[in-house]
Amino acid sequence: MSSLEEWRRIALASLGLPDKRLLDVLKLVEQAPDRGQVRVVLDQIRPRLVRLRPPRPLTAQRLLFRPMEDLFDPTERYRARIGRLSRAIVQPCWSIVRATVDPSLMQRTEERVRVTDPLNQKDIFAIGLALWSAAAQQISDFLEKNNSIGRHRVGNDHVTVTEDVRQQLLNISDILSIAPEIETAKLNLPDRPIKSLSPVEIELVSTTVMRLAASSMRKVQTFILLLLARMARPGDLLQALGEMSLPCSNAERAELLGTIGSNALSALASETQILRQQQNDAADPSAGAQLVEQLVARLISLERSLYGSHDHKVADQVCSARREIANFVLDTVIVKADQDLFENLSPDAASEPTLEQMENAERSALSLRRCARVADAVGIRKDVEQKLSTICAELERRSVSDTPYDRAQSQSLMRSIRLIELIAGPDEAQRLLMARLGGL
Amino acid sequence: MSSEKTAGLVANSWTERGIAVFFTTPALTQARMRCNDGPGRCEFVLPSLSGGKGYYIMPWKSIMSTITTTLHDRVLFEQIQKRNVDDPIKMRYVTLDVAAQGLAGPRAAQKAREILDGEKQYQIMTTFLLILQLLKLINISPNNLIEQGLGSISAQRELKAALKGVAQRLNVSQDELYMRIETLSSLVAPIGLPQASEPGRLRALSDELSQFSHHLRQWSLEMPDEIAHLGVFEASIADLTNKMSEKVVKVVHNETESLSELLKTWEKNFSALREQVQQLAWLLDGWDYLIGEFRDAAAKGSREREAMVANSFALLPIIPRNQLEIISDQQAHKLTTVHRRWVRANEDWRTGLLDYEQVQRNEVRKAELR
Repeated sequence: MSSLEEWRRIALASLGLPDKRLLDVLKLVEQAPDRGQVRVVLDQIRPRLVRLRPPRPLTAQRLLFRPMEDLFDPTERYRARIGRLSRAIVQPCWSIVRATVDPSLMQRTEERVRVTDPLNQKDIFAIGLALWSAAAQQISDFLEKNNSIGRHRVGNDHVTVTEDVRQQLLNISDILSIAPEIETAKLNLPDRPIKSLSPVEIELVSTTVMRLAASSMRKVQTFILLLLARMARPGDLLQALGEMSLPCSNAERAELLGTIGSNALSALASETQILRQQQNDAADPSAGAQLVEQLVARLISLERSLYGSHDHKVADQVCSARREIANFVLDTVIVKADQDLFENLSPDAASEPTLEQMENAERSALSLRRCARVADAVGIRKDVEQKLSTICAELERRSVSDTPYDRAQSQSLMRSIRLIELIAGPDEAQRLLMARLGGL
Repeated sequence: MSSEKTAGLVANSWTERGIAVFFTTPALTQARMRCNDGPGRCEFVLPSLSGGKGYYIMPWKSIMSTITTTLHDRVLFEQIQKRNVDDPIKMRYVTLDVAAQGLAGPRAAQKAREILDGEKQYQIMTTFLLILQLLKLINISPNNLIEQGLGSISAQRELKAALKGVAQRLNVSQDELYMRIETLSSLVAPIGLPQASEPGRLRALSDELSQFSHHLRQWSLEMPDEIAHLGVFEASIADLTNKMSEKVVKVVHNETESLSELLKTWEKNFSALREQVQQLAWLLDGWDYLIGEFRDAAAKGSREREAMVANSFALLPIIPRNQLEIISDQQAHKLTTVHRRWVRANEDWRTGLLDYEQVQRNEVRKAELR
């Protein structure tokens, strides 16, 4: 079987399988020698994998790119000069590293990763140290030797170097040179998205920043850029950095933070530009609402930390990101919110929804709530409020009974009240409960 | 509203420690209710409000004016007031009844209904085992009755006659005997009888404490020193609680094993037995939640385990001083300082909005109740 179309068909067929079987298929596909075929399959099943989060088998290539995994963007979303990396850089970069790093080190690394648990972060860290350091040096040497734009030979392969590829390789080399610091921070900080940091965790960030600053401010910039990509509200970290005493002048510090902040904002803006494509791919309003909430939290925190920069570019990016998010919310969640919610509830109290149906209805209600939370920030409050009141009115209508509530009716009432609470908050739910039952 | 310094870590008595309440509002997670002036006049000790130093102590009215609470918690509080809840056993039933209505989500509601049904069945089984034990007193083998089918008219008649014999032997009326067996069964069902195939829920919870402490000590070996110190402390509290619980269980089992004696000297011994069961409920109060958190963290990585150890510290059901002196003020101060450095700020409290993701986490915990 060689046609990519056939692989795509297999991938689509496997989407109908239960989770466990799908993961078995994934294991088989991962063994295919042609990465192009593997990618075709992965692209098709990615929305399911995002939810299942299976541990990917560890390879030397994945180990190499581990310190920068948070900076990769899909090729279609990638934008140059904002400190991000395109997935398309993986192959040329890997070719350089494979061809230039000491073969015995490469072989040793490959042997060790084969027997390492992909979840054992400490072992992975220990194996990666030598590879990261050697690769940083080799990429840097390659760029020095091949300082012209064009096609260059590395081992048996050729690498086409453009201005942007050159910049990305340089960034990768920088990241790899501080990989131990990055991986140590990842080991000791919460998983992404990091909502907040404890005093001990802030101390860790501060110590690392100070150590890197003693060597070069460029390293600090690289480290912070990576950390920002893991934060739920990157602006919080920028503010904390603003309060740290770095070994540089105030102007240098302001410039550093401004550059990092505006890069993070540009990355966010480019993420919002492909939201509508995701609308077609994923079509899951619940995941969409969650994504929107995360994007808005990032946007607001960055906007706040960049406030005062008086930069028109910043203002334009914020406006455009807001518009894209608003359209996504309206088209993906709001337009079919009532349908999603009510299709899980029967129109009368007599037939009780199953646990799964009720959980689906609650998921839809929570998506609406997420949208309501961001509505103000993206300027669609009126549309969202209108939808919410229509849904609440329908739920309220369904909770009316002319006779005293029997068991089934009172369960139906509680279901409506619970959904109203999720959508409109506890005060509204309490009002209805008291109106129907005369007390709590 | 007031904030204590370090005094909140170790209470002087059970009533000062308060009863853990399964609220779903994140800022009220495992708040402890104290009824110093009797039922109905209570205040809440809030360990999760700020994630910072000390504990906030607030009456419900102040809570309502400062925190957005879930409807579930408002209804739960109303029911606590209405039913004059003043001990962990009553609190548990109120909690389950409110959850069964569905206000903490469909899964918690289903679980609460299952638990309430399961406990009714367990109590019926406990009553049955007590009756079998009594039949042995007058040398009647239960096999006869079982062979006839317990529901059959002949078996029922034979059972009634046998119990009449037991009542005469114990020198009580038959009605009084039934009443005592029912009362005893409802009292000891949370612990279970030694001859029961499954332990009661309190005994099972106590057994889980030893696992909790074992794993916590193992995890602590790989944690940074500061947090490992908290982990070892929590494990030692779990061990101690487990040991004290086992002693109480033993006393209760001894009493139920000499059943005829207990039924004969009912007035004298029953209230002592009730105190023992209540003592056990107080000892284990609040551990359900922590064990749920522990199970969650066990399935995750080292960071989540460290976070669990840090967050659990403020919720730890430490045995009060009037039961046992286990921790000095100096040690308490040192531990609370470490705790403060490891706990993240409570975002929900900062924004003033209900974080429904966090609420859902608490609802899941509720659905894991035993």
